[in-house]
Amino acid sequence: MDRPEGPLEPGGSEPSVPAESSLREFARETVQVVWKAGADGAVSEDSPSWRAFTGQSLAEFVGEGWLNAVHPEDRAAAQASWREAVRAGSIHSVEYRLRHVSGDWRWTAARGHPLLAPDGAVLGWIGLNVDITAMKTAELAARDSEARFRLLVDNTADTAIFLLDPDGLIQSWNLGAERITGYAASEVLGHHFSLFLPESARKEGAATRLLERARQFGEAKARAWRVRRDGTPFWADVTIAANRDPQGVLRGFSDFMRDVTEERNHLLAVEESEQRSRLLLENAAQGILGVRADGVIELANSTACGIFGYEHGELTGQSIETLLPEQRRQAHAGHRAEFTKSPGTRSMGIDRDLWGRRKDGSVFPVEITLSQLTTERRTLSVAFITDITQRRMDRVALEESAARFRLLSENVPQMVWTCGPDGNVDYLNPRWQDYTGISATEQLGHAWLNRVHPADRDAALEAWQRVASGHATEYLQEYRIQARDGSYRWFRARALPLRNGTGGLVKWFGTSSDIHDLRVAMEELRAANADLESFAYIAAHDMQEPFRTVSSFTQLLERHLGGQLDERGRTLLNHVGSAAKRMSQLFADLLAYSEAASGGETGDADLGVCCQLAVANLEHAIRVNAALVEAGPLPVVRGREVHFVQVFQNLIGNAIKYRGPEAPRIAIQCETGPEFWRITVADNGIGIDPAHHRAIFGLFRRLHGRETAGTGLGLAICQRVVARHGGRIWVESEGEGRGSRFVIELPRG
Amino acid sequence: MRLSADGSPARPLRILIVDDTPSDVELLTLALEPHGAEFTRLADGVAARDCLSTLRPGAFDLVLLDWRLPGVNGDELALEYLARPDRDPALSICLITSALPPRVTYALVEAGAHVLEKPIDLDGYDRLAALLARLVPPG
Repeated sequence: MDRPEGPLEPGGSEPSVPAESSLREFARETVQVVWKAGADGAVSEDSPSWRAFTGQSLAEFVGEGWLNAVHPEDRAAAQASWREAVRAGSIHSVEYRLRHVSGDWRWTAARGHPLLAPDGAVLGWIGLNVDITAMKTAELAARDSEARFRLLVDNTADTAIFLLDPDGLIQSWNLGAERITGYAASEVLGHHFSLFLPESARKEGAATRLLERARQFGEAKARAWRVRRDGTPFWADVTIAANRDPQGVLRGFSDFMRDVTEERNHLLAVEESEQRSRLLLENAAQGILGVRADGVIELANSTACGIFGYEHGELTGQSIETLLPEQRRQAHAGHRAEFTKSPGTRSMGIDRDLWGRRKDGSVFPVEITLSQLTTERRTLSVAFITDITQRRMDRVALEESAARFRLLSENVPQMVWTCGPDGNVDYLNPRWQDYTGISATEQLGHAWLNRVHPADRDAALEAWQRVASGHATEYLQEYRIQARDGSYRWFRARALPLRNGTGGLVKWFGTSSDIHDLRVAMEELRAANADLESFAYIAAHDMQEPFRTVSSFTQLLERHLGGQLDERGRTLLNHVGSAAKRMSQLFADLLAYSEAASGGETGDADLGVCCQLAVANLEHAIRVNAALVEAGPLPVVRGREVHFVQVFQNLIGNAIKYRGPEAPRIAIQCETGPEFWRITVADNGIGIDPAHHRAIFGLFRRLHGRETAGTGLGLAICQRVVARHGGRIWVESEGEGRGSRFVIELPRG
Repeated sequence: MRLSADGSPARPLRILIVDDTPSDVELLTLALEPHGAEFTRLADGVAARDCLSTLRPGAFDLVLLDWRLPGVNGDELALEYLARPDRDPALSICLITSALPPRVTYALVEAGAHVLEKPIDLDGYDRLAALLARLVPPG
């Protein structure tokens, strides 16, 4: 509201101003009261307008009596302002409530202007009171509503509401903003609002784009990720509105932001569930048809289309009766009406024949489950349809094969049984009853276990549970089963699984064969073998004793008699001693022979080392005969070194023992074949007649007389060791006097 | 003759010989005597078991066991004694035998016994005696 500023020129009883007419007009319209006062500030003149407005008489308002018409709350301020203006000679301007003649309080704007003499002295005062009640009420209302609005904004907890300056810097902050973002006002005021954007969005300039859109269109909306103070993201619904003043100048923006993460999750879940349902429907192994009450197909999945020979989508809109053989269509329409009246899930086609009709007119057996889908809007009958052509054929085939199986199994000499995937026996052939004396039907399930020997039961059950749990691919178990006379016999049970096309276990087919005699024989043999092994060692141990006594005591006797013995006596004693030693050696060799085939730890045997050890053991014989032993590189094989030392020692020893006139030359070499190592020990000795090439590997085989030392076991030991390692040994010689070549083949790896 | 660390003659070895063959026992004692030894002789496994189960620590330096013995075999005696919690840690147990199944040899060596071959002539006995004397530290 524009008012003339500065002191008014004095003149007459009315204010004298240049634009008098307009002022009058103004006064007539808005100025309710005009008054005058003396230079000292005391009202002395009458004011009809004051009297008219306030109802005060002149006597009541002269001096400072007018103050009594001023609202008590405003009175002190009005008086102070007036006195200050009078003292300083300045304009008095104050707003106060003035009692209206009607009894109401009216807001007035009071102005007092000094009337000045040319020398500047105050001559008196002229004043106006303008009724501003309407304006003031509006202003108060406005202030009130803004305060309320502020309160509202500040306390809104579920929406962030804040102001941005034109550059996007945050100017205000409310409770919602604090709650949602986790920032306190002091942490964000003056910061750019992109603070809440994820780094990637910030880098892309999303904040600037939002403001630009708000600037351009007045408002910009977005749903996007925002980040809380603690770094956790939330899905935000953002509205940014441009704030412009009446002249259209951009003053800033209002930013409204809601956390709609939950809402989004919910939406996503709904979407997902819809997608799942659709996926399920489309990919169901069964055909699914949704049919309206009037028989029109509204929904058909691809399986349904496939079953009936239609293209995908082709069935929608067709009548359901199209899919029935013609002679059944009419009856079906009746059934359909009935079903709509009393719905409920029901299976069809299990106990009676149902038929479908393909697009090409062919008819096939189906199985149908009916159900009803009711929503608020309508009801849909849903049919789940399976083409059971294959199942019918399978059943026929199965019945035939079961008949064949039964014929076979009832007539074989073994026990035959089958059981389901759960391990429950569901068939036993008559051999079971023949043997146990108990009818097969009483022994189904797990009852057969009662006939198993208590000592074997746990193992049998455990193996069977492995089978039942699907962990075994074959069942093979030996246990004793009680016969009808109470005795037990050993059986070997063996079962193989029958699986369906997808690998699922359908049935186990098993047989139990009587292996009692075999098993008993095996046990006896094992015991006999163990006895035999101990026997060899015991024999060797006990029989060494007399030879040791003979040889040692002969030596003692020789020492004891000393010079009393003549040459002849010493020779006789030597014969006794060396015979005992030979006998002792023979037993040591026999033991080595029996041990060569026995088990025990095996490891890597370095044949090069074995050969060196053998040469070291033969050092005396090699030196005496001036023999030359040459060995090439030899492999490492699986086996026991002690065995191969014996092999080399026997072969090299033989080569020296059966030497020719020339000094013995022995060459040891190895060739590497694709599957075998081929080791040769060749000499220049007396050779072997081809007629004896096989026989020399036999026990106690000697081609030469007593004049050559030897027990006749050396090559037998070699043969046994090589055989035990999966190899072969033989000899090659062109005959007497032409040298010999022993060949050993050992498997590689 | 064994000597102590200071070069003086060591005390005689105390040896328990368990063997049921008198000639073998004689050959062993003959070979060991030059090394300075005192012998206790037992000829059956049951008597040896009694002796070993009441053995006072330090009573013997060496126990020489044959494999096959009347009553209880030498390998069993050795394994039983070596499994005792109160066995004398300074006592060496030694099987002296002309044959032993490999399985038994492994078990004995594993348990801490010595397994040596019974010689077939006097030279062999001399070598065995020298080896045994070295098993027991002088002093």
